[in-house]
Amino acid sequence: MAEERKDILRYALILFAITAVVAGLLAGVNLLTKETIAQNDVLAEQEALREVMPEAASFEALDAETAALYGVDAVYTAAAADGAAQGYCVKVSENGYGGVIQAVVGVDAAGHVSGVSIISHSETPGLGANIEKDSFREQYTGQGAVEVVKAGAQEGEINAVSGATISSKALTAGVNKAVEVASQLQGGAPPTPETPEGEEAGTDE
Amino acid sequence: MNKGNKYGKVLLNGLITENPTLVQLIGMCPTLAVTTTLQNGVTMGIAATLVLTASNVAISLLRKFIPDKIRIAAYVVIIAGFVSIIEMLLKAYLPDLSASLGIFIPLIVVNCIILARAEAFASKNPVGLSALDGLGMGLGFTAALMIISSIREILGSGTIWGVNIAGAVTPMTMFILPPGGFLVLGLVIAVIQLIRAQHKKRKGGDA
Repeated sequence: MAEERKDILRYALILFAITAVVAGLLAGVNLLTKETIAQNDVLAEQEALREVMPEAASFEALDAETAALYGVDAVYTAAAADGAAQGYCVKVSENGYGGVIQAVVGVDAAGHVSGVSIISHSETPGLGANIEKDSFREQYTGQGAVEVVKAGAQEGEINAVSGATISSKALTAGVNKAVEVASQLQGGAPPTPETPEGEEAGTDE
Repeated sequence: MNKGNKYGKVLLNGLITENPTLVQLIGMCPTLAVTTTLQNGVTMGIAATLVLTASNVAISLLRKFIPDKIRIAAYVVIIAGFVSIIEMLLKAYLPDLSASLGIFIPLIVVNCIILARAEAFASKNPVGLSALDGLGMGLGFTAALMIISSIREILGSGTIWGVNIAGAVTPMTMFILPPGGFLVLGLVIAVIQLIRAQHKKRKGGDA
């Protein structure tokens, strides 16, 4: 009996020692890498912003409350090298087929989309995941708010990825939301009143 | 000579004779999940090989220190710790690689090949052999993923390593979806078993 109790204590101590050493190592590595990782994240974000608005030289994030007020994840003002305002980059999240699609949309001063970059998604590989393809995303460039059609897109429309209408519509809803928010910010208009947090407004059907 | 033979045998064991995926049928979950493209398969394979080798070494070093009764708990802590450290280091110093590995790194923690080798081999063998076992099993896993992912990518997307080879032919999307994964895995295992059976028969005939 006493023997057994001693064993349990010994096991507990050994397991404790192992977890303590591993936890110590993890804490050490975390301390070492924390700053570099944060820097990398900032760099990656700037990279995405530059991709959707190649003409802009610098980006500045508006505060999180403003973004939340407009029902989007983040808003950045873009400026040219001489400081002139170039438009807005808006980070949006929409529910796709397999989960949330997060994208950054650049909208120029005239209210036209300058580029769309997808940050993360979990759409079906080979179908919905094709929304990542340049050929699909480039359809938004130069347009304002758009509608999704199956084929033969005219002005103000884009062709859906074949077999993935839901994913196409979800990304389009995000892009349209970004266009709307950018135009409201541009004109100094308040956010759309019927936008309770998290829900999008102004997208038909 | 004899010793060299033993090391070679351990390495070959993981690569072919007891290939973890196609013969032992362990690690099925990542196998099915990531084999939609060859690039994914290779990346996952290499990442798992690194972790497997490192964890085998660590567990072999600690094998006398860890009592039998709490070994599984200890292994899980050590492996999870390893993977987390690698993930942080990758994120900090190789952000591009880390972005393409994405979900694979955390998936390695739950890859049962790693726990299986810790239990079946590293806990009973010296460090050198355990490292070789990890390397062999890892490469065997990588090879299996490469076979399955090549087939699935060619049939399902019409591409290989992202390069289009199907031309205008419409690929069969089903092959990169879960059903295609099960089908290809089953067929590849069947072919391997056939080869093994014939090999055994020939060997038996010789002796």
